[in-house]
Amino acid sequence: MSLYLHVDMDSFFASVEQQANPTLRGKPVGVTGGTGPRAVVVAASIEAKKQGVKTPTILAKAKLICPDFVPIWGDFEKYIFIHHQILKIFEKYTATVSVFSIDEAFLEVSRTARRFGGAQKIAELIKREFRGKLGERITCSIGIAPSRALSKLASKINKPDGVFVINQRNQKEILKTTAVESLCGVGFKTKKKLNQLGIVTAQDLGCYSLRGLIRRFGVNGYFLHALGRGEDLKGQEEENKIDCEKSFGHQYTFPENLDYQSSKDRAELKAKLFELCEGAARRMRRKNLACRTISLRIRFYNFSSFSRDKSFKCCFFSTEDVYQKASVLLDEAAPSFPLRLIGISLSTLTRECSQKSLFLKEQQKKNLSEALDDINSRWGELTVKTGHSLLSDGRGVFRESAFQRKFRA
Amino acid sequence: MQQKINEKVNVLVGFREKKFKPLAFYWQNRKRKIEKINLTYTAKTGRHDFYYFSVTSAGDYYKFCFDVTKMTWTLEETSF
Ligand SMILES: [Mg+2]
Repeated sequence: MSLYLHVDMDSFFASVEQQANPTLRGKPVGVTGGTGPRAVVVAASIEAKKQGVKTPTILAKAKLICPDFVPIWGDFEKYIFIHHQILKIFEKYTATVSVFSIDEAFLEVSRTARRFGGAQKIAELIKREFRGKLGERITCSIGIAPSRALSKLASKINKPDGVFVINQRNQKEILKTTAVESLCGVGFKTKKKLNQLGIVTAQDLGCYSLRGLIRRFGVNGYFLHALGRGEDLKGQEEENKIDCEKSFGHQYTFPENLDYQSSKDRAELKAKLFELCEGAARRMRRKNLACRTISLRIRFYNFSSFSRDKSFKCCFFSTEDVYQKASVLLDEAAPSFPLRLIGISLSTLTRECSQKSLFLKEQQKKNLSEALDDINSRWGELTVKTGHSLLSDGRGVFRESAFQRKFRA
Repeated sequence: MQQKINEKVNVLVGFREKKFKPLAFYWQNRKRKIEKINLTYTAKTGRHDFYYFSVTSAGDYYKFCFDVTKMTWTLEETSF
């Protein structure tokens, strides 16, 4: 029988800050990506959550809900370092750790649990090690179950700092009382469609005919059917990876509105655009993919937005190419109102490019991209950068990518 | 709650079994004993390695950065 642990860190970023600075403990703290009123609050401490602060939100709103809210400018190097320490601890208990996001992971302990005295014992040991190695404030909630899907559900039940086991005895009861939208993989739209079919609880979903689900949801029907029964699809992990990765995007909210019509602001806009392209294209290259469609998204000062995409016959993987196309889209749009946000998305993904790069020039580009990625991964982001991004500081792309990993999940 | 300082400071450091930690520091003409290390992490920028220590001294919070290449200690933040 399979056995999984799902470990979910409690208010991860905020807890790390409270661990580092004890004067923040017991206070409604939130980690932000900046300091201005429109900075995004991406994580809230347990105290802030209790007062009604939901993340993500903007700083001004958090302060409205919770007047003594304490914003802390997020320090991503710190969170990533702790994340790696956590993984090192996990690896003592199993070789099959799959990272779900910066603060969540699945540990498959089917074969190793007995060696440590059972899965619950492992949960206990992990918690003890967190306290000793990371600090008393950095806690986690652990779900134990025979599938990934159920373990993820279980870790939510006893939060914070809890452990919950789902086994054959209580599984039926829990699925009966779990709303479909609490299942990982059921978003707002899917929930609506499911409710239309009369499916409200996880149990309803598990009892619904597979054929009916396929008719309504296509291939995803298989996934939903398994989910309702508390099972994982075979090879779900791989499938998820390819399926989920329909696009690679990055966006950034400027601390102050920028005006494309002013040449100084335009230079700043383009520098940020380059960084966004680098961030998105790099994630894409890491998966050995290339794109045929490039989309540009702009949000104006009054929150109205604009987006434009362009598809091409050839595919792109280098930052330089992606940036050139995105830059043209921006110039074509030539927005005449001040903008607050700019975003880029790469889609229509393909693997073909990597095989077809027979042309020397393409191969050279590919080699260059790979070498730059290697250097930046090893020595820190933007160690080597091109002239385009000199004006920009790297904030908002690389520092926030930890957040994006979190919210992509 | 936290305020940026970014001042170079003198620090007394203890070494033990391949590990080191700050024990006390001098700031604003006073020697301050470090009672507890709350969190440490390392980071890299180019060829520079940095060690960060978040500590408590007399109930207050301080964060130090040790630049390995330059062998300097910076008091980065404190609580207020
Ligand atoms: Mg969490």
